[in-house]
Amino acid sequence: MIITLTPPQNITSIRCGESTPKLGGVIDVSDFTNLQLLYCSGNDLTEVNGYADNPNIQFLLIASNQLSGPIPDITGMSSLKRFWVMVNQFTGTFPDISGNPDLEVINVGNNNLTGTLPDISAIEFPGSAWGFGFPDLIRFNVYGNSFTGAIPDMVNIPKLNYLLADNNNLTDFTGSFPITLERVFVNSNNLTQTAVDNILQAIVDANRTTNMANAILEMGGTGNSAPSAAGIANRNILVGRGWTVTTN
Amino acid sequence: MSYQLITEVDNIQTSETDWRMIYDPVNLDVISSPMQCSGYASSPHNMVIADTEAEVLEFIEQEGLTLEDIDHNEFV
Repeated sequence: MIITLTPPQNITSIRCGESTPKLGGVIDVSDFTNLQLLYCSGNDLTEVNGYADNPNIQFLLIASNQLSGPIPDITGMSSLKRFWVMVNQFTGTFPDISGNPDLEVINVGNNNLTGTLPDISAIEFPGSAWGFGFPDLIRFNVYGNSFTGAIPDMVNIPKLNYLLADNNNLTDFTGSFPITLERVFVNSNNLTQTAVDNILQAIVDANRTTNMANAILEMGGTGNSAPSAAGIANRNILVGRGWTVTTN
Repeated sequence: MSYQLITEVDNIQTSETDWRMIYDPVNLDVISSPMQCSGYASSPHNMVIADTEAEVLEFIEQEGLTLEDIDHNEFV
């Protein structure tokens, strides 16, 4: 029998699939220079190597494995749209995303990351049509880590739909949200009353009033401050528009 | 099974030990997955409070609610 293997450079998609027992160990995709999709979520991989400087990868889906250490430098992944590394044991800081202008989804949730979140609206893409921020980003999910400092201003994230930043140690927020924002989980942080009030005000100002079925703002949980009287007034405005809102 | 079903969710208080879930009674979608989170909730939807996650999940199954893990895992 003659087996003809496709040259690695001709392969654009790799799916690890699901097996029992799960796929473990180390994979290296450095030979797959034209890879666009790597989907290996839900396995027991301890290392995934060779992807971080590939400018053709659009979808990197390696959630729910046993990956550890720092998240690699992904600034060379200039086509990256979807970056899923949640539910691993990554350590270190939030990755530098200044080389990823096409990002649509980033999810680093449920890892062991520390430090502050980047001011993503201030990241500049010189030569782009928009200048600053991420015009296509719809999900910014950083829940279940140990991030400190501020929730980023989303003024230059015009399509943001999900902001899941619960269960961190975040304290502050100043800025605005787009009208597209629908699901906001910032519960179980250390948000000050000013931050809680600013979030409520920003969502009121975003003025979302249609397609409200799934609109939810979670701000309760241990650590967050209760809103002031002005914040409570804004909470009531949001509830009147159809938002589900929880606060302390 | 022991749970509390609240249909007028107006500043409903839950404690750190309560399990709660919010769902749309019209299209039967779960809006907020079962979670332990203290605070005061207001919503146009219904809310279930129970002592354990299992009780909430049993309610979801009995009522035929759609629980999509749309938030914190996002598996395709």
